[in-house]
Amino acid sequence: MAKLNIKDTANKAVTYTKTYWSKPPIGQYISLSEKISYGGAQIGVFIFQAITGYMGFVASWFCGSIMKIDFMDFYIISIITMIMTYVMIFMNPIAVLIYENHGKLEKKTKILAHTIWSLQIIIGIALYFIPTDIFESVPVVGIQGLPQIVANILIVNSITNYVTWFIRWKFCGKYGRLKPLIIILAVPAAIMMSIIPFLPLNNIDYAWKLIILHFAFTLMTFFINHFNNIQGMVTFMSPNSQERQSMYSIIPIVTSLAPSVIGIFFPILISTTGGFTELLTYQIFVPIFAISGAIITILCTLKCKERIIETVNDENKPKVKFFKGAKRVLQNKYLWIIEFSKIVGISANIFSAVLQFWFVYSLRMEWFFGIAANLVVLSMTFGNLLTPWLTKKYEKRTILIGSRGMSLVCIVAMFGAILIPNNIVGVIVFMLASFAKNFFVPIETGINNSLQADAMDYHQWKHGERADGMVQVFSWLFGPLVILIGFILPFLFERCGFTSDWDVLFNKEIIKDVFNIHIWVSFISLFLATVPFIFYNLSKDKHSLCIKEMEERVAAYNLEHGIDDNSPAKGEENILLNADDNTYIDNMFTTCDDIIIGGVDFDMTDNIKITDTTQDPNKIFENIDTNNIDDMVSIDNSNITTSQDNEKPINDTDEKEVL
Amino acid sequence: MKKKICYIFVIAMLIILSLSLVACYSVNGPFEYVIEDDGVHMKLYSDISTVSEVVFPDEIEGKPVVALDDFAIVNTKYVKTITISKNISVIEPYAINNNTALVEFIVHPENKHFKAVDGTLYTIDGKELISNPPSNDIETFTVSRLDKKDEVQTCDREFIIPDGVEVIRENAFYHNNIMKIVFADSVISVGECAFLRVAYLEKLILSKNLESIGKDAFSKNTRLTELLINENIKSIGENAFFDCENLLKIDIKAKESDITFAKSWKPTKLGNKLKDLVVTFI
Repeated sequence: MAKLNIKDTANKAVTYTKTYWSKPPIGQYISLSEKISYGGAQIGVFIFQAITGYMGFVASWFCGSIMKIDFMDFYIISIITMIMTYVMIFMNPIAVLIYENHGKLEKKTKILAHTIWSLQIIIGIALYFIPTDIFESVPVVGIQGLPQIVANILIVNSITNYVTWFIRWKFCGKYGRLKPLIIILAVPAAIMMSIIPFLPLNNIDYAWKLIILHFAFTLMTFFINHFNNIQGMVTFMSPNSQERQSMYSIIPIVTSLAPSVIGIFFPILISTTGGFTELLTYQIFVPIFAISGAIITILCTLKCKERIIETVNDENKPKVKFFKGAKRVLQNKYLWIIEFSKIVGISANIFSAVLQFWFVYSLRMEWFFGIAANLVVLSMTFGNLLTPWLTKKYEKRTILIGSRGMSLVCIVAMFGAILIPNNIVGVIVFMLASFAKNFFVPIETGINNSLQADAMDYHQWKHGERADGMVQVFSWLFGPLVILIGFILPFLFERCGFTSDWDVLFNKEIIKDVFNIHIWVSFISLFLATVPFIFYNLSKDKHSLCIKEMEERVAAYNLEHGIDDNSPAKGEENILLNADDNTYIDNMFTTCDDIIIGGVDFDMTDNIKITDTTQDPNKIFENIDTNNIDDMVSIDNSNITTSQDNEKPINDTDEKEVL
Repeated sequence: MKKKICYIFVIAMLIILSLSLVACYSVNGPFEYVIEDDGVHMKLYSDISTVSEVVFPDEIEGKPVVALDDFAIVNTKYVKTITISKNISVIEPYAINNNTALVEFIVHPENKHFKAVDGTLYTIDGKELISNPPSNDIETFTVSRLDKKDEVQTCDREFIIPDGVEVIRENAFYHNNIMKIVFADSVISVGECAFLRVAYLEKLILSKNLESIGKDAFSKNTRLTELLINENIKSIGENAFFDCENLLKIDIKAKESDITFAKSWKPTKLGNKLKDLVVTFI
């Protein structure tokens, strides 16, 4: 019987594969072969990322241990970058227009863009000729090579803007929003990655070493950020939300094996070349991983198709006015709570570095680190599986606070681990504590993302527009706080002798201090990130109510304008689809329930922006065909109760309760 | 009300910004210190490219500068000379470490605790070698190799530890650049990390009276190929030859049973055992 079943299943699988290998099932858009190609592209990115994690322009093995860049210098550069971001903020609308309109700009805007970016390049080039030590004594941002660091930022900003502009103008209208960028920028990403370990920086002055590395990494980060965005392509591959969901959930089950396997074997592999702290390791393995990863991704991405290719927005204007949008975002208390929590919680997971240091410097078992690192994250899978169940059963806020409480207990156990005199016992206890802590990580991440999506829905309900892009206003506001938080770690490390020399970690006392700093900072950061959620009161019921009301608004509009569920609403007056215009109106109904996979909340409503603020809501509801709504709504609205909430409805001008 | 909250928020952010900016700018110049009962203890030094000569002051706020605590001056890139002032009597093991451009120490003539000879720092009686500057006596030259390409090296060709030195302190030659080191026979002990990652170190001649080798004393010297340890050796510390992957021959002129070996004392490659390693006891 069992044999028959297996045979039966196998036969079905073969038939399914044959049937849908080159054509998609009815109602879907992506064939099996294309899905496999997408998976292959994702694996390529994972291979690429296997070594990039060790090569960022941060206090990593490469820049810290080998290149000996001081911790404090990374911090000072982050301040300079932030200041420059503020300085260049006025150019943001042009970048938005390039994104929205596939690089097609009005003549006036074009001239402005050319003028500013050319000017940036000229100023940048001039700055390279200023002596490197001239502003070194300037308080705060004083660093060797300050003018050149600024020059790097200006020039890289201009170059990347021009590159993006060109690619969007030339290819995005035809091939889609992401595919051309992934394919084209994979090449320079791999080349840059491969070149950096060969830069002749050994006998060069420290200032110029810093400047060259900063330039190379800043440029490379731009390429890599686009290249890595393969998962974002799913949004554009199919307009069917269920199909997209399956792409998000099923494919990673297979592809996520790649980083795990690489993670286990990578430390063993690099032990042949001297391990993490030897330049030779990067000279040999970076080109191998970067180039092979890029080639796999390019070849596979070529076989993927973006089916949602938007036409250019003729209005040639940003779709949401910046200041109005920003003001509204700042009125959303839930976004305040979430964003503030994110900022103060920025160091909550730095405890994970302890394991690496423990194996490399304390136990001297670098080869085992990959296995250990993979063992402690196994619990994440259980966390992932449990999250959807938890969210159904309890309030998200309760889960988050509870989960973080448990995480804090795990961190306390880590303190215990480093106090154990026996190194082996200590590391085992630490790994157990990390294992337990990692169980809660996907829950926290998933819930956090989900709360963000809820807050966005709430925002949409209140103001009639999505605020996904506008949330960056918080990062500008919290900039000073980020600087202060960023200062804490290098400040503390400096006081225990850990700056540019990583060999001090061979000293038992120093490494213990470094462990303590990591764990204390993680504990405090996580604790502070939890506190704001005490004030978070957007319950499931409240959220459901918002969603239901928005559905009703759209349904009413559809009925009034005779819009079919499955047809795009592009160009329709008052229903304004946002930057990702591709979304179909019906997605609103089929995906507004959050789906959490792999610790990531895939909220399909993210792409929808409805600015239906012109109609009297009461009038809309006069036209509702209830039966039609029921047909369209797939989320469970059984919990929705009559509104008792005191929030202001829909828009700023209309203060009336809608329901 | 909302406006008030906005103003308060903006002001708070500005205060935070100012605090964070001030926090990373030392008002005391490049030095950080604490005043204790016995005098001033130097804690940290901020490296600036325009300052290559660091002179520790004799006094700060009317109190004598008496000690260089751990990390008082470490990981600098521009400091070429360090002057130990007259009242300094204590230099902790990690007080002066990994100052890559450091060429020489100068000791105030009135200092009763330390002296400098040829740029190297010793205790006044010459029994303890405190620290040798990483760039002391270095030169750039080409080394001909039979089996490989010629190599350009920037290092000290040879350092001879003078007679009378009994103790080589922790980190004394940490991250130095020396091809050959010869111990005087007066040397009895080598401290923890004393010769950690000495670039280009190919030849090491140890003292006949050497009794103890500290933890990580010779770690990360990948060019060492052989070593003779003399008959008076009594203890070898943990990971003493960690990651000396080419050190495949060690002759010890003593009975194995007379020596206390800490765990993992033998040469390794990143902690992995070396297959071809031969350790002989005479």
